[in-house]
Amino acid sequence: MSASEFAIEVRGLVKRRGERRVLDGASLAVRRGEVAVLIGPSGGGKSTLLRCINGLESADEGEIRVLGERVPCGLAHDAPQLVPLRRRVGMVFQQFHLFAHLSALENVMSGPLWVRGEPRETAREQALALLRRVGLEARAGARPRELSGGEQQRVAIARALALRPELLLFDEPTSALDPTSSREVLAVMEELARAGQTMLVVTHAMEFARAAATTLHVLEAGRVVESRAAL
Amino acid sequence: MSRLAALALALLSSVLLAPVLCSARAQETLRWGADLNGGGPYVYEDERGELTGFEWDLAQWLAAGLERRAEHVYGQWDKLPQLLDRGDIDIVLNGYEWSAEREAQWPSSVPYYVYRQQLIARADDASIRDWPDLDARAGAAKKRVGVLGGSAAERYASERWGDAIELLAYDGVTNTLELVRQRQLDATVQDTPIASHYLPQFPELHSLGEPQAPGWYVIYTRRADAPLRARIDARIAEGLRDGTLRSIYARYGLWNDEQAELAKYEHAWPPASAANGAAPAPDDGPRFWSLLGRAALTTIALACLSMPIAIALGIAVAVGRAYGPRFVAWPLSGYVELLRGTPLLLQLYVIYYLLPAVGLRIPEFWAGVLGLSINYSAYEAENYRAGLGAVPRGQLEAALALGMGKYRALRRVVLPQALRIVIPPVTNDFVALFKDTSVCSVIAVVELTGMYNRLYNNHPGRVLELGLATAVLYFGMSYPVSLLARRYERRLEGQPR
Repeated sequence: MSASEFAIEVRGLVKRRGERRVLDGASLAVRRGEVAVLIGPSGGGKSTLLRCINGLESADEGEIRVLGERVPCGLAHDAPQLVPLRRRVGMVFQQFHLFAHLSALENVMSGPLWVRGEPRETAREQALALLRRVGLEARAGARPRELSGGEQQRVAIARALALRPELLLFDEPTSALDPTSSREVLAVMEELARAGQTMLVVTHAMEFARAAATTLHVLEAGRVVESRAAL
Repeated sequence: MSRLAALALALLSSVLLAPVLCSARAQETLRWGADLNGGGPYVYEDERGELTGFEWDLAQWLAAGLERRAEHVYGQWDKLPQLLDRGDIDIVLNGYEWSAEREAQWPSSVPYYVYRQQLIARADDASIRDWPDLDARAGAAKKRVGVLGGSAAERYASERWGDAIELLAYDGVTNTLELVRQRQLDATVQDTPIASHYLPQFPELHSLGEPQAPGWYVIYTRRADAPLRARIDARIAEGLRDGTLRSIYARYGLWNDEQAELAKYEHAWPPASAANGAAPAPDDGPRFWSLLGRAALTTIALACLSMPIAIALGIAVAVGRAYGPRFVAWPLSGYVELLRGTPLLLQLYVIYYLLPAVGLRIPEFWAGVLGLSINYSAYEAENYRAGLGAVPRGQLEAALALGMGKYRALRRVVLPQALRIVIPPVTNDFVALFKDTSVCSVIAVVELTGMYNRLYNNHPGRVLELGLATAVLYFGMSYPVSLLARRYERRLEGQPR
């Protein structure tokens, strides 16, 4: 099997916090086109694994390859080496982290405009199209604090999509949401899954796993204890 | 019961007797106000740290004749008359020249010394050999002349030359002479006693031309103290007759024949012009406003030029400290601590008086802008450091995750939010900066407080009007800043304006 077939390959990942080994030899592989769901008990290291994959945290030991590129251990979270890879990998956070000083539209435009240097008008049109896709075109001018949690998360997904990422990482995207908002966000994610977007999703939302996942990984005590195709 | 009554009686009597005892104490001493800073040959500390000077000796001798004990009270020179009004001192005896405006407020004794104005320049400066050389020549730069702020020399030079020279007022004698030595000034005009006392310390400088514009040093008193004034007048007349004053002045090399003429004022004081001078000229009101207004423009210019530089420097320092490598962050911490830990006044002195020694000569106004910018940059750096710290960490992470580099993420995402957070403390500093510009008067920048002091010195009777006008101008400058900041804050918050 060639390396390019894999979106993510993680081998023997170790991450220590003081005495504790948050990740204790975790291994995981996600093929391109897969919708992988990572589940497991709280505190098991799921978020840490996800953050290590795009370099927001650095692992102590082990090997990470993302889209064929190695993510070295011991890099600072703002290391310039990570920039090219991150432009190909989108990330959606549990707490949304929309840029508070920008409107919903400007948030979605921020990547194309500032990262890829696209013309403002093009970025705007694309952003509006993406907001339409997540059902929020009417809220384009709203500031993050004027949006509900679910709306914010849908804007965050649109922001991540704006760079047309080859891989999307979701870090518990519905954990901070009420059931209604949660369903809205999951609907967007299911639509993405149907469109063939490669995704790794950390979640407790089993209904999403049942509806959209192609593979299921179970992380416990810092190790992936089970990986199987979803039913 | 009787013990309690005795206690009450004792308390009551002490309360009732206190004023009597106090006034008895006042009878015993003659509290004379004088400044010590750069006070030679008037009152100064000698090498052993003991007070000396011809006015020190004069005060001792004067008090002895009044059967009192001389008690020196320290006060800032230009604020001594206010100490008199407050009742903290009995007389002002500190090289105070007679003026009709002061006479109207605080009646003076007969004069005890005749001074003149002495021109001082560098011995190697061929362009100044006498007073007329100060006149502006076609094509040549105006002569830069330093004087003591609020002194007779300032008034003389300003009336005699007006705009023909660049007149700069300082708060000390030695630093003014030092500036002439360093070629930052072309010349200085000083009272003759000052010239003869300090010139030996500056071999590169010399006195030029005939001393001009005679004036009298007098002792100022409270209006109600007529008996004290009469006794002082009598004592001075006695000292002139019996040669005591001559021997005191001779001790400090200050006696000259002109002093002998003082005796003629024994029964002819104050001069007739006192009555005219007491009433301010009718056009003085608008003139005050225009002078204060012009000085306020300087204050605005100082503040409005300094603050943007301070903010830019502050942001750079804050970002360097928070996100830069250690070899950058540590020196920046040192920068902030050094500037916060030393007074602005001292920093201005270093920029204006010490930098020329290493060949860096900055004009007064720009030295002021530089000093204020650098000083405030330390405070702004702390504001922005707090602001950066208050932006949630997730904002930076989200920007990094989008593929922005560290500095792009800071510039586009973190800084704009930090700037908004610190608008209130930065506004606060801007308002404070307006008032701190007054420190620049020590390097001869005529801003609002400096102009207030100058006008007050010349027109002490109009202190209330001047004080109010100055306060109104300061308020008029700083209040719009607060309003603008609040508007800007609301705009950033996206609330209706």
